[in-house]
Order: sequence, then C-alpha cells, then structure tokens
Amino acid sequence: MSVLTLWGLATLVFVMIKLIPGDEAQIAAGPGASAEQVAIVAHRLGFDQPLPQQYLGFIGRLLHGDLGTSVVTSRPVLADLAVVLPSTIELLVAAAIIGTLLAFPSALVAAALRDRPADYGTRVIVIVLGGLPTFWLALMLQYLFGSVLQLTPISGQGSFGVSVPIVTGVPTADALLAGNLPAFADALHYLLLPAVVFAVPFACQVYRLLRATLLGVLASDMVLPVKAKGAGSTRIVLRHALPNALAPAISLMGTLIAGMIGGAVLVETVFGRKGVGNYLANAVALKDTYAVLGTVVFIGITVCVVNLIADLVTLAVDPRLRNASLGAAAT
Amino acid sequence: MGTRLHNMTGMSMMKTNGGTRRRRTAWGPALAVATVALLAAAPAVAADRADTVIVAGAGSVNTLDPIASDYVQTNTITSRIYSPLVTYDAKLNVVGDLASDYKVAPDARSIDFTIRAGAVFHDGTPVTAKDVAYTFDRIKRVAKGVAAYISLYDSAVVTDDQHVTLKLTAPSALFLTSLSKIYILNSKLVTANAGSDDGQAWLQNHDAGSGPYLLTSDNGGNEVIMDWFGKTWQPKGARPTTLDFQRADESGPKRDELASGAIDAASNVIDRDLDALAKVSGVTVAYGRAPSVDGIYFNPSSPDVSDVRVRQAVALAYDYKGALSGIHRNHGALPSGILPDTLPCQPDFPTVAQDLAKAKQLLADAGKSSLTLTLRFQPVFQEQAQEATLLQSNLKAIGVTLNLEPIAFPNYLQLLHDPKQIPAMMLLAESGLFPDPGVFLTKTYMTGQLGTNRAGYSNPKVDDVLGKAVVEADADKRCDLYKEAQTLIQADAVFMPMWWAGSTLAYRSDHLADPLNGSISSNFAPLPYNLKAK
Repeated sequence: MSVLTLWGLATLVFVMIKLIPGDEAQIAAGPGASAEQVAIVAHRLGFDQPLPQQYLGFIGRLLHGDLGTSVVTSRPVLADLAVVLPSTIELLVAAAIIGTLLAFPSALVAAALRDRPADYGTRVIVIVLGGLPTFWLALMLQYLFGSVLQLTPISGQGSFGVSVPIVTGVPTADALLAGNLPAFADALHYLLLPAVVFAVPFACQVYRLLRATLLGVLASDMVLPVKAKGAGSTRIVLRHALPNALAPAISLMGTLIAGMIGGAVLVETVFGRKGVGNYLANAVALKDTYAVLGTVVFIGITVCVVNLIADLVTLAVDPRLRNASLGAAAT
Repeated sequence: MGTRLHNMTGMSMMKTNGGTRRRRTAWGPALAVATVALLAAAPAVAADRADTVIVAGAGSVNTLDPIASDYVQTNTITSRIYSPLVTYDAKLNVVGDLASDYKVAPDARSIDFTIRAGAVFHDGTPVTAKDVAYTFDRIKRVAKGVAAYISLYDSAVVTDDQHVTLKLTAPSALFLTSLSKIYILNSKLVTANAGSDDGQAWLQNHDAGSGPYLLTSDNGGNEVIMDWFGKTWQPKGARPTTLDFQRADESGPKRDELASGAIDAASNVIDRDLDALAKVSGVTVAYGRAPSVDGIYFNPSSPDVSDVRVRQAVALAYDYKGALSGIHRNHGALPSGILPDTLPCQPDFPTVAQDLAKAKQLLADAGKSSLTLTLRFQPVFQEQAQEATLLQSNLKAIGVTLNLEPIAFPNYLQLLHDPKQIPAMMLLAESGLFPDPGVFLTKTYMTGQLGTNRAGYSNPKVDDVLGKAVVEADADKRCDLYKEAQTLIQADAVFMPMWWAGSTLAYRSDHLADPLNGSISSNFAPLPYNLKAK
C-alpha cells in the first residue's frame, strides 16, 4: 500500500511540477541565456525528451534509490537532503518533546479536574493558541521574545563565532559530541523559539484528543472498582486512565510529526534555518524539477515510516491492540 | 567546509555562566536545559566581532559556483571569493583586476590580457593564463548563467603563464565590459574535482578563487562566512577581517536584528520597517541611486498597441509624480530616458510627465477613443502591482480600459522565445548589469535577441546604429551611437519608463561606514562594507 501511495505521490507531483509555468531549462540556464544556450542545457538535463520519457526515467531512477540531480546545485538530491535533513529532524524532535511536555500534563490535569477552573483555563488557552496561524505566531514570538524581551535570538542557527566540527549535521548533537557545552547551549537557544512555534499546534491537538480520551476512560465501568478500592484521583488518572488513553494519542502524534515536515517550509523560512522545508521552498521557486520531486517523495517515505513507527509503538504500549493483532494473525 | 574557522571563546563562557548552570542542573534536567538556553546567547559572541561585518539579505544562495553569478545573491558572495580579469573604477571605467594589463585588438575580434604578477589562488597556486582559458572554456561548455555575457567567446590562446588572448566569434567592443562577472577558477583544483559535470557539484560549496576573501563556512546557503585572504594583491584598507552573509527573507526579523546589533547591514527591508529603523540609535537608512528602472514594454507587433500614438498616449496618461510620492515615498526619481538610472550616455530627454489632454488627442488622432488593453505584471512585487493599478485608473480618465493580468516571471521568460506570444504590455523592473549601456541596449532592443528582447522590437535603423557601436573601439564615439539609438527607440515608444528606482540599505552606522556613499552600484562591483574609523 505504501509503495502505491508513493508512486501516486511521485506521479502527482511530476504532473504538478510540469504544469507550473516556466521552462525548466531556461531557469537553469539563467534569465539572460540565449535560445541556443537554453537548448544546450535542456538537452544535457533531458528536458528536451518527451514527457512520458522524462517520467519513466524519473520513476526508473527512483526504483534504484536515485532521487535525481538538482538542476540548481548540480548535486544529487539525496546528497542535498542529507545536508539539510538533520537540521529539520532536530527541529521536529525538539518540537515533539516540548509539545508532549505541554500537552500531557495539561490534559491530565484537565481530565482529573473536569469542569473546574484548571480545565476551563487550559481549554481556553488551547482554543486560542490552536487557532493561531503558525506564520503569525512565529513573527509574534520573534517580536516578543527576540526583539522586546531579548531573551532569544530572532533567527539563524547559531551565534557568530560559535563553531563545532560537523559530524551529524544536528547542531546540538554535534556540540555535545565535541564536548562543547557553551556551543550546545547556544544551539539550544536558537532552537527554542522555532521549536515552540511547531510545538504549540502539536500540543493543542494532542491535548484535545488526550483529554477527551481520558474523560471517556474515566467515565467507563473499569474505573468504578478502582475507585471502590479507595484509589486517589491522581493514581486513577496516571495508573489506570492514561495507559488506556495512550494509543490514540501516540497514533495522532505520529501523524502530526509527519505532517510537521511539510510545515517546516514556513518555520524554517521565518527563522532562517536550513532544512528540508527551506530546501523544498527554494526548489519550487526555482522550478528545480528533480529537487522538488525528490524532496516530496522523500517526505512521503518519511511520513510512511513515521506512521509505521507510531503503529508499532501503539502496539507496544497497548496490550489490547497487540492481542487483537496477534489474535487476528493467528486466526 | 565541515567546520567554521572561528573558534568560540568557550573558556570565558564557562567562567561566566558555567557555575550557575551546574547548580541548576541539580534541580532537574528540564530546568537546566531551559536555563542554559535562555542564558547562553549573549556571551556566545566571539571576540573578533568588532572586526566582522554581518550582512542579511533575502534569497537563497543555492550554489557558490561562480558560473551562477548572474544571480545577484550568488554574485554577492562570489564577487568576494573570486576575481575577474577586469572590474570598474569609481568613474565606471574598465580597469584591470586579475589582469594587470589588457588590450582590445583594433578589429575588436580579440583581447590580449596580462595576468597580474604574484596573484595566487587561495590554496597558494599561482594564477596563470591557463586558468583563464580553462574558465572561459568551461563556461562555454556548461552554457549556464554568466555564459550569456560571453556568448561571443570563441577560444583562448595561451602564450605563456602570464599572457592569454581571448578570441571572439564576431567583433565586439562590449565583450570587455561584460567580463567583470567572469570569475577565474583554479583550473588544477576544479579539474581534480570535475566529476562528470565540469565541477558544478563540487563548486557548489567549495572555493577555487583568488578573491580578497576566502570561504570558511557555508551553512547550506543560509549563512556564508568568509575571511580576509592575506595573500591578495588588494589592500585591505578598512575592510573587515570576516564577512558573514546571512539569509533572512522576512523583513521583520532583519529590522529587529539590526536594531539589536546582531547584524550590521540589511537589504530588502520593507518601507514600514525602514521607517522604524530610521528612529533607532546607531542605525542609518541610506538611500542611493541605482542602475534600475520600472517601466512597461509594448510589443509593437500586437494589434492593440501597434500604433505608436497609442503607446505614447498610454505613457502620457500615467501619473508619474503621484506614483513617486504615493507609491515610492519620494525615493528614487522620475526617469528622463529609457535606460536604467546612472548608466552613462543618455540623451537629454525631458523628464516624464502626465499630460491627459495630449494623451486624449493622440488616441483621437489614432481613431482609438475607446480602447481595451491588457497589461501583464508580477503581483509578487507590491510596488509593481500598485503601479499597474494606478495606470489602470489613469487610463480610465482617457477612455481606455486596462485589464491587469498577473504573470510569473518564469512564464514570461518562456513567452519571450516566441515573438508572437510576447505580451502587448508588460510591466517590469529592469537593471543594468554592466556600466556600458551597449550591453543593455543590444540585448534589449536589437532584432533577433530572443529571450532578452522584451518588446519583440525590431527596427533596422536601431540595429544598424547599435551594430556600429558594438564594433566601435572609441568610447566617446560609441557613446554617441548609443544616444542615437536611444533617440530612435524613444521615438518608437516601445518602452515607457515609470520610475528610476533607487537602492536602499539599512546599516549600523556605529560600526560601518556608509556602504552606498561614493561606491558604484553593487550590480557592477561588490558593495564596500568598510568598518567605521574609531
């Protein structure tokens, strides 16, 4: 199914990129290029071939793990992605951690104290924050924390003069590997604001689902005997309700993390960070056909993998699903 | 390129904050991470910040291959890492850069160059005539970017290490002036890393130049850092030891970073933010002239505007002064010619002005008192959208209905390859890339220049005059021919100049000398980011 999905995605994007106005060879050759120079470039890049042939060539290379060569950077798209991907992963992981730290405690408190001020308060905050456009939130946070309060940097990925050997491409990890704690702190400092921007919508959605699921579990018959035994509300929520409400939240988190790669276009652009989103935005603007196709397919693969991981984690934490799956397999 | 060369003053940072952080670590990992993150920024600034200039601009630098130097963002970097054979002095005269001497042949079919003695690449290899030949041959093979500037290049004849002759396929006195963006490569280094694409992939993030700065770090085009090259033949003067170019597409963050002193100069800042910056202590907003013009190209082959009186009427209807004050906030100037501002050899044309009565009369004379026209424009440029809307309103006053149709630039470029598809009216911002107006005039107005002749214009008289200019070695005589050509083009009214756009730069005046003061346009040579004398 995943292979079919990826094939459909690749085909759709191929058609879309060809429908975008503009001659790829002209863009690659430059705005001042003569017709002869454009023809040379078109021939070299294969853009003078019929569309079906270009499509089959792309799919054929894709099957061999070749995402193509960027017209703009002249490098394999996979090599370009390898440079920018670690930065995006760092951002997504940080956002997921912050989002989880925000969502879980507040959802637990809201569920435990249903219809009390804490519940109302968190719900209002979630409604407000969850409705904010990411782009606007990013600019507002930059202005407030970067410009007015000067607590965080406004954009970029590191202070001038901060340097560590690049090993993984993830600034925080490279700083730790180098044993350079100030550089680690600096990288975290630059990571904080964009990660929070990503984390806010993530946390809001996880909060909503987790709170609703927790309330459902708490209202179910299984809680009655626990209450009858005299367990406190904290114990009921943490030991009995949460494990039973975890599966849908993990599944949602997987979907949200995968979706955040697409959202990286906005956040990475506003915060001046390199990453997959920024790379894709450039590729679209410059009609860098194979960079767009390769990046979209790569994102598609990532979404499939993240969803698979989320499913596996869900199976691991929920014995009911695990038993159901094993039972289904057995029969 | 794996490591930035600047080393952080780690020890001093540890002394400043380390104790605090260690104590807080005991309270819990989450609190420690948050505290470290919030407290770490200020001390992370390195000690050599005072000898560094950080510049923020918009747009990505996708490759550092100097063949892509037709792209302004790339040229901002490559013009400092690489050296061309020639450049321009303050009076826009061609002067030697990597070439200590040059001589154009009387028949304008070849140019002899003498390579500057002692010039070396960043790896210490001497620059030789062989490197020049390799560079030009490579550009011809790859046929991208700056290849458009040297389409007449035929071959190079290397006499010895110091002397090379560039031969052209046709006589051209303009060829020399187009060489300021042809940056000479270290042939040995590039050949060793050529791969299957003439070194394009390798040069994407590697340095093979001999320019005054050497590349020290490239963060995927988002931040490029370069250090002064000690073995350059150029005097350092007040130039900083380190230059740091950062990408920042949004105007707001640039405004805030400039105000806080995190960066020293910013371009592509919108008017509202410039107004805010003008009030910040230590920040100056500089306005200068630039070789650029906003205007409308008419395709005289299009039935709607085939009558020159219609084109003249449209030009007379536009409220130039209103646009200058209302749209452009009185920055830039009203044009008095078809060339971008600051380019030399412009005839004394009157400054553009609105004359609705004359416009109506011209339309009546042409028998077109009721007319519907279509203007294509790029909505991504807010000022151009406003200009188009103003013209629409102005034309209504003389009975002309103007339809506005947005178009993306890549799509427009595609249309230029077929004269029948060239839009009847297209609003564009044009820039002069070289000080010799002949480069602009021949590309834009000579017959058969598919892809760059925006109007699909063809006038044998103009072709004849510009053809003479191209082979005229005497600069003064060439200038006269340019003026003659402009007079002919102006009479045909195929271009309606609307605004001579100036250049704008916001910078920390407590750290930098005014980069725009006394310098030539960044289109022609790198903008000087000189440190302010203390």
